[in-house]
Amino acid sequence: MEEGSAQGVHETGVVGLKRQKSWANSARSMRAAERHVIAAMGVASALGDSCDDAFRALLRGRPVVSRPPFALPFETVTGLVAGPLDPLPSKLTVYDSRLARIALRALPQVTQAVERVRARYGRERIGVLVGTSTGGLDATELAYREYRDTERHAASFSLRRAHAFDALAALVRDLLDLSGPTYAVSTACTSSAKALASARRLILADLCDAVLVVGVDAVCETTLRGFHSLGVLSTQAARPFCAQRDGIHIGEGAALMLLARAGEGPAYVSAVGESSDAHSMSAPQPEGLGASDAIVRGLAEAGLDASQVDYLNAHGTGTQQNDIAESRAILRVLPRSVPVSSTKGLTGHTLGACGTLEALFVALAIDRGELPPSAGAIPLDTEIELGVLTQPVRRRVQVALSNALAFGGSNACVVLTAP
Amino acid sequence: MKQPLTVLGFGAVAPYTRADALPGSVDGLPSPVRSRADEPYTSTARAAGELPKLDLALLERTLRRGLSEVTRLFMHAAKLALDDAGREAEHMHVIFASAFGEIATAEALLAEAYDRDGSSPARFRNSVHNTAAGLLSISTKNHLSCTAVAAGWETVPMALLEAAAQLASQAETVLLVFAEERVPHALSVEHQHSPLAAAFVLARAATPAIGPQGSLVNLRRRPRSELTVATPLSATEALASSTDRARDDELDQHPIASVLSLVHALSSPIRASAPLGSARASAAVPAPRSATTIALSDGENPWCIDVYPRAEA
Repeated sequence: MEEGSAQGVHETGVVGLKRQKSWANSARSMRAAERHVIAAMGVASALGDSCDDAFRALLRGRPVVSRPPFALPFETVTGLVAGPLDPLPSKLTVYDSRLARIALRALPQVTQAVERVRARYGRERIGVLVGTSTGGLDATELAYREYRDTERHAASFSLRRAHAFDALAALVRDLLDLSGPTYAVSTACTSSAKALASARRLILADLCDAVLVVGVDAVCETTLRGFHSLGVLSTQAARPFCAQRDGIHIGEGAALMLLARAGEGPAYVSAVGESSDAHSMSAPQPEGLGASDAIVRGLAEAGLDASQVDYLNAHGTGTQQNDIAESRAILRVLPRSVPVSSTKGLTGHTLGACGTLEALFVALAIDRGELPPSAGAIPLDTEIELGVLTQPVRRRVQVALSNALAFGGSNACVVLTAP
Repeated sequence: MKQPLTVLGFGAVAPYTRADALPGSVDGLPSPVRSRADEPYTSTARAAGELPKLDLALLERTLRRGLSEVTRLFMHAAKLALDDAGREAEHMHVIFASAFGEIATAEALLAEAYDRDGSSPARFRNSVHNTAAGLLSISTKNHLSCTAVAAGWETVPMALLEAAAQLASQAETVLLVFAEERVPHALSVEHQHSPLAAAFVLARAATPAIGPQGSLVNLRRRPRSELTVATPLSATEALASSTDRARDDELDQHPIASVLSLVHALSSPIRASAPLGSARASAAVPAPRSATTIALSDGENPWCIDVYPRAEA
């Protein structure tokens, strides 16, 4: 990927700001912003298996891609968690899947913090929400193949414990000795952004004092074949916002975020704005109307003005349609001067995991005062008038947004703020 | 959950369950439960059978083709509940809750990959857990958020918590739809439950009165030994009794069976009156008709909820 001359951030006009302020004001009076601290974070991704490693790789701006771990009748690349992945302990093999292995690689990074909130609030007051689009489909693929080859069901496979969306949530709950609300949110590529929204609501409604959100998806054949059949899979690392972009590449990973009612952490989740396009199952509304609704609702819920936004991590998949529609959505609400990047050129599109993974990147950007570049964006698409970052930038960030958009016209915008 | 959930309407569909085994049916179907007495559920009928015709009126005509069982069940139950409430879906937050969701579509994609090394884009598009909710939002031009959740055999209480939390924050009205389709044999021999769906139109309680179609109060875990009131009729029992299989194993039970207990308790006269559990509940709902406590999940410490039925006609 070339990382040539820095185009920097366009410092141009402030579009539609006045209108935006009035929306935000009405919501601010509705409810004083209540925000939840990110008490701990954990990550496993192509960019590394700790927050430090992953953030360093983000700033470096070089995609980590390799061939898919199975044979396919077409060319593509994937962003894989570095192998080999440890199998689950023998007592827990019924839960085994690549998905579970990836999540458990990240889990030790948050265990101590979970123990602290458990001691403080009680095990029944801590929820576990998993955001995933596939669940343990990778394990189901192997079991299905065995069934078709041998006409016998794979003895080791459990649809309930390995495939089901919520299986990992129950596993994590039991491993951490928690007993609060435990479920999965599965809305394709907004899954884990919407899991953050649900977590936030559980705390606001006093049903929980803390919630561990696990955004996770594993590379599997079905999603690679499916996106190929839709004609949106690239043969190389995705290049969001680039004039030469030609589609997504699929990544995988787990991002864990412990949201708590009180305490200290690198950043806060101040809101999650959600909306539906009501347009198409798989194509974005061309003007980005649904996506801009999500940004507007997020800012309104947080009690913030568009003018206060210091950075936006775009969904930025690298397809022609998404990047155009999303840029229109962003410019309808935010000034052009807001720096924007997509980290999907580096990690790949992690599908159900991307909502939490990218919110985690934004929390790190707030904490460390550095913004990651949009890898592969040069030469920029001149139709896209966003302030796309092509180099890392040092900048104090008070308010930042992370977009996630999905099949079914599902949109979510996570609003994060500095301590 | 302290705040009561006001029920504006509800409905259920259980196509392969014998009418006489369905909760509610004993009282002459006071609830909008639909069943097919002439098509008793058997594993043979299950394996071979197409579902009876389901009502897809909520969907635009162009979106009605090639839908999965679970999406069609969702639409049918949602229509019953919306009609019962006299509401349109346009201004509602929608929650889809299902243990296995679009499991047959997942199997079809696996088969396509195995048999012809391919994948159908139309099928892939409709394979996500939020397919039904997304299709409904497109058809009803609903720009509010919709979500899709799963929690295995605790899907019913967890989805009610999600609904309660949404109503406590931004949502005025929630359409909560539970649906479960048949699991393809290639993916499991254990989980051969019958198709089932139920939907509830829920609202934030504006006043501490019981809703027009009843109220749901005080969702919490409670030791089974402390449940002083028998559940009105075990829905699991009702479903299992209509099958020809043994049901001594937890895995044989239906993941969302307790929705039928809810529907039954909302629609039928109280059989045994529950002492109004805690002071908290009685403070929230003064001068109530008596409630039935329903267990919504399995185990020694199940999630329970108090159900106040709809007003007598």
